[in-house]
Amino acid sequence: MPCNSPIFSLSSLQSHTPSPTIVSKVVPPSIVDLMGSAMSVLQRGVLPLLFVLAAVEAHAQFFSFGRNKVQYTDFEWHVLKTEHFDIYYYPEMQALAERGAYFAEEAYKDLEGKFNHTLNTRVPLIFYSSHLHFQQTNTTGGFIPEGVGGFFEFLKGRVVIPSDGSTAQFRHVIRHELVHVFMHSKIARVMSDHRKVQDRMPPLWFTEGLAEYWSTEWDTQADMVMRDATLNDIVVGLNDIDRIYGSYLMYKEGQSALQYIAQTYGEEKILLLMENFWKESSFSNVMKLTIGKNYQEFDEEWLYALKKRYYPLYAKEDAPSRAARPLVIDGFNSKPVVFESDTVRDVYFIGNRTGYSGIYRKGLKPRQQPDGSEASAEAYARAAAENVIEGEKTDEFEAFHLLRGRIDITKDGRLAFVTKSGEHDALHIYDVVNHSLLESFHFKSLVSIGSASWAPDGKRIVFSSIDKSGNNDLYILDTHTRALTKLTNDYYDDRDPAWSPDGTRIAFVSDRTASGLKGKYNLFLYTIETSAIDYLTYGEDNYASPAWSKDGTRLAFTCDRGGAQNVWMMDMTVPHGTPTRTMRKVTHFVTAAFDPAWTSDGDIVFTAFEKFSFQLRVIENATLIADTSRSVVTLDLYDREKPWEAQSIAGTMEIKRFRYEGDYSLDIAQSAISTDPVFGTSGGAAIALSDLLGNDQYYFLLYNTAQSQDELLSSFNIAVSRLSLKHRTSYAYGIYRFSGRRYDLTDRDEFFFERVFGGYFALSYPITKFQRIEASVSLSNSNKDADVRVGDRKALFLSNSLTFVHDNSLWGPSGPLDGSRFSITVAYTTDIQYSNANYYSIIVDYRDYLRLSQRSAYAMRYWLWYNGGREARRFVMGGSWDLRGWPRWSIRGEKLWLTSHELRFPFLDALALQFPFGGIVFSSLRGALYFDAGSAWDKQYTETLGSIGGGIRMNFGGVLVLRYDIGKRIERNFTRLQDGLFHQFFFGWDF
Amino acid sequence: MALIRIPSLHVSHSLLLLVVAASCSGIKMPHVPRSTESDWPMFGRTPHRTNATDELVAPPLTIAWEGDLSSSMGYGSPVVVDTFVFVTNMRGELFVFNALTGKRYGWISLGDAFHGSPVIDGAVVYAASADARESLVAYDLFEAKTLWKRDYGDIEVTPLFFDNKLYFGTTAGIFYCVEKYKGEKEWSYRLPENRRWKGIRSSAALFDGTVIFGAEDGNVYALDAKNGRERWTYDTGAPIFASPTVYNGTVFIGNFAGTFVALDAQSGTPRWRFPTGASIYAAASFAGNLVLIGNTAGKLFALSTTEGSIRWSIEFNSVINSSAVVSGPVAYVGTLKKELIAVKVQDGTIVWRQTLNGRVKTTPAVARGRLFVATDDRMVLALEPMQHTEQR
Repeated sequence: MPCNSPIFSLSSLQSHTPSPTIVSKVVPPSIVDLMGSAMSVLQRGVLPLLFVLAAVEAHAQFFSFGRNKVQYTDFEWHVLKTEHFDIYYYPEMQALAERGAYFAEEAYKDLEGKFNHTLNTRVPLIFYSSHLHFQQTNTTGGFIPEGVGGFFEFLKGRVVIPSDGSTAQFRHVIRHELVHVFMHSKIARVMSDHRKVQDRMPPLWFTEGLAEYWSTEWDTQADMVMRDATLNDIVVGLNDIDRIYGSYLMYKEGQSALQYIAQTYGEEKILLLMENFWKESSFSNVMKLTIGKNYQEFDEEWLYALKKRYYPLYAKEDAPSRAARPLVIDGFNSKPVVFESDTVRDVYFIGNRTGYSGIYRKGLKPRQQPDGSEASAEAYARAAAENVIEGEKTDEFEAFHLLRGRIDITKDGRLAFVTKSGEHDALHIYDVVNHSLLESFHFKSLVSIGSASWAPDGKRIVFSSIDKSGNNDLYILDTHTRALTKLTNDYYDDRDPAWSPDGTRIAFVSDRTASGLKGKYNLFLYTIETSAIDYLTYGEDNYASPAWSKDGTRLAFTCDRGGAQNVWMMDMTVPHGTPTRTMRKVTHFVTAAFDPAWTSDGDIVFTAFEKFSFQLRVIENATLIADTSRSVVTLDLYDREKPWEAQSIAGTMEIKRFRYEGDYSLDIAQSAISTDPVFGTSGGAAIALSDLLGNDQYYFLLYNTAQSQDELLSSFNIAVSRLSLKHRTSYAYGIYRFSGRRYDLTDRDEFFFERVFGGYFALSYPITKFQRIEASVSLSNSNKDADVRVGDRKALFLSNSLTFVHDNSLWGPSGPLDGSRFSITVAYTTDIQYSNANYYSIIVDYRDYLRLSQRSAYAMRYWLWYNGGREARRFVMGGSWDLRGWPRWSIRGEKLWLTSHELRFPFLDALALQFPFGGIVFSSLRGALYFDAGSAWDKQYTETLGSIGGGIRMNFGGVLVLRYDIGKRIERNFTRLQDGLFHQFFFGWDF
Repeated sequence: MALIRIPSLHVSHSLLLLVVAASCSGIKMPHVPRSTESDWPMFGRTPHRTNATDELVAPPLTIAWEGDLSSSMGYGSPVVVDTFVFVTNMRGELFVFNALTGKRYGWISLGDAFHGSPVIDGAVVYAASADARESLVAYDLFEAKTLWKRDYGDIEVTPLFFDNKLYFGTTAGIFYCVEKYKGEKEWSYRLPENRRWKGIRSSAALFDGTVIFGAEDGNVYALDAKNGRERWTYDTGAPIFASPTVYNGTVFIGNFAGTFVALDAQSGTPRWRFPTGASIYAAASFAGNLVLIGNTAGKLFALSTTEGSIRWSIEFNSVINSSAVVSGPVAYVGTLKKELIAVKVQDGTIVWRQTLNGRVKTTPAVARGRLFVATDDRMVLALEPMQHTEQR
């Protein structure tokens, strides 16, 4: 039996050696299946192997797929040492790193006072100059969504933070993450002081709420979320906070609750909540001790206070749904732009209705509905929008930036939009009339791109972009000559450019004012001819999204003056150089409005925030509303302070800079003992260590499976592996020596004793996020005793494999719902010394998911696995994960085929059980109807087997799916159905 | 048998209990402590909490001995009576060491968590505990028996011992006077209009038959020690965690907002206010006409006791959580940066600084030619002048 053939990845549970097949940074759907493997392996007494396999192996059914976390950029890491921090950065962003270092030390000073605590260890801060670089980090294994602004990883105490061009936001995130670091240390200290086991942390609402509360002010966005949640009865109390666990709403509710506690009971109570943490295991009881109220009692008071604060707003302000005509309601919708020609009036926007983000189109209906009723407008808004460009399935349109970049369209229908495309963002031009992608612009020097705006000549585009230094500046691209001109070049955050219809000016948003470091953005005007930058607004309010009217006489934009972000308008016919400007309020929404876009008849399409959703709505006769608005503000543009200046750590304290050479520390050290009725007791230990950036990982394994004293020396199992993720091509290599009694599942449940030693090398090259090539070679010496099939056998195996993997599937609560997955492996294994074995493998696995509705899909799976040659290995099948209804691994053969068809649909969204002592809610129960067919054979095809039935799946905490199936086997070569029913209960994600 | 230290192992409660139970508790003292001039007999050294002694322990210092406390000490200070050092920890245990040799006479578990210092009255120790059903305990060290235990709610201060009575506040905002023989309540005072669960975390000081303490509601309270009647109150404007000190008829106290105030001890009339800029958690200390006060911004101020004007200030770049202690012309102050620093009282010149193994958040005590300080690595240290060591 070969030990390191490429088919390990398909039935790795039988293998005794680390599989060389998968070394890419594949992001698995969850760890559930790994846990499944663990249990199976444990039964066979080779638990320690798991730790090696966990690093380089992926379970056949799931981990051979997965999208790729591509390391596009070779970062040249350096370290900046300050008094309390080791800051990791790359040379292109040195100035940003030094600013960050200053903010970190500034935050440290403040937080040690707030926490009344200091840190005993230096804090590693890993900075990235853009979110796209941040997404490549190896400090965490999973994909990092665009909404994640940074994280604290407590195993190594690392803080990882990207810049998004905004210095104020960079500063905020640094403080936010350092609050986590301090809290973690403080709680550990409190528990340790009282000699309590450090087995818990405060609940997430508190940790995240405090991180926000002590890192930023209560701003418009926080208020928007809480207004909306309170007025629409979405807000939940602390007693039920798990219902919104991990959501942005929970962060803001936590911040709001702590702000309320500080204002009502005293700021010192925040600290006392941590100081009292050791006293009670329930945080509700800690609250009771500290402020005299438990969760339930506090909720009554706090929720009432929220209502009292926000309900009166309705006296003067409206919900968007009450004051603006709906255009698109369902799903996520943002960044609208209006395209009007003689024949069409369409709104294009960035949306996400299916889980894949993309560009959508919706016809802009005339103002008056056919029957004039609200119901008609609502029905039209709920009707599906057309998906013009589907993102997140191809490398070209890998991801849309839902909240960052505006899109724009020319009069002849050329749509400019931005997507992540490989290493950088790309600017695409799409012809909406002929439905074709005209061109994509990739810029080597630019990492991420924000909003784009066409010049009226239809040739040039102005856009904002972050380069490797982390600065966000304005650029003009001539689409004909491909010439790129940089308009601004500084550390100020310039964004949202809008080219005037006469082509002479560009309105944009920037933090280049005195209050910019506090996160305040104002409107500016760039004059093309002179390159002069003039203020359009000045003040402590936040301005965003300027949009010129079609005739260029007015500028619509959003501003949070008065509390909520609303649409305002400014007269742009005022002569240049006027010392004051007047702006008029157009909308009076209680929540928020974003991204105004003009129609030719003076209406404004915009994104409305309401009921925690982003909808598109229309304000009719916006110019008339502005002209008659009573909310008029005159801005003094001349009496102003100097813009903020960047502060740097350099010069403020002694610092050291040097090149990063690798800083290794232990990730896990674990010993294990397992007992098996057949194999007896085995014990051992596994150690994993990695460098601070997670680029290099080492795994050491040592265990012994001796069943008697004289077997002790011969039963040592040792494996050493190294995994390198630093470059785009990741690789792994290792050596191993395994020895012991084996249970060969693939044959006839036989036992044998095997000693095997060897080495392997494997690499993985991600072509895109969705496709990769894997290759491996291994050499192993196997000495097998008492094999029933072939007797004592010695072999020196040389194995090679080549695999192509594709995966762009989209996952629901129990498994994929959309996209497809495909892999093909060819492999050859030969005994180069004794010629005892010599066989080839071809393995094809294709899965397709046909989306039927938002939450239902028809899933298909096709397997063809083929081993041919001398001592070819057998495959196994049967059980919940493949041919359902048949005993697990009961179907075996050198060749195998399988097809599965499954209808996946929502069954119950929540099942709440309320007991006298508390309750539990099971969510995301999903239903399935399925049909399987397949067979396995050696030389001669025997019979076709199958099963048919239904089942339910329950996602348990996002990490585990429990599956219950019921059905009938199709037996005797598909000629009869099983008597009675089979029942199977197992765990694991759907295929 | 030494109590096993488990620095940061994640062990189950049961294992921990087993380890503790396997250690021998109990205190065997050679004789009853007898008060001497060189003692540091209570938190703050005197009922005025002045944190000062004329006894000079001259820097540089070196560690004479270290004692393992098994858990960290709270915000009090070691207490030294005769040749005995008494230290309580936040696991509810009392340790007794020989002040000169460091020999441990033993330890006893008396409560759940002692945040303050023990009160020593001959052979009897009184200790106040947080999170215990019976939060005030009297224990006879020589007889090795508990005299009484009483439930007064969570206590996170050091009781003031005066006229055979114990005075202390609780986290529930009630101030008690308790007689020492049975622990019975003599009188109590509830913080007025305490709807926001404000507690008392400030250890009381004594002035002329008046007990004075601060409260989380921001007020300084002065009560008649005999009957608990309110003599005066003063609103500092922010919660008070620090203990008041009384010096030359003036009460000095700092608050959470960093404001340090001087009040007439008789009437509570403010004499001056000084904004230090950051939270004050500890009591002041005195040297001549100077009052020393530190804050969480790491600044140590020396102010004129009469006017509140700055004589000097130093920034230590780390949180000061405990009181400075004045030893003749020198003041010692600890920081959370694990430093113990000696400064000249006259001009604030740093004359010595030493990095210890743990953060210093307890106030040191000076007695018997040594400085005693607890660090949050669960140790109590005795430091002596280097010259002394060399001579020996």
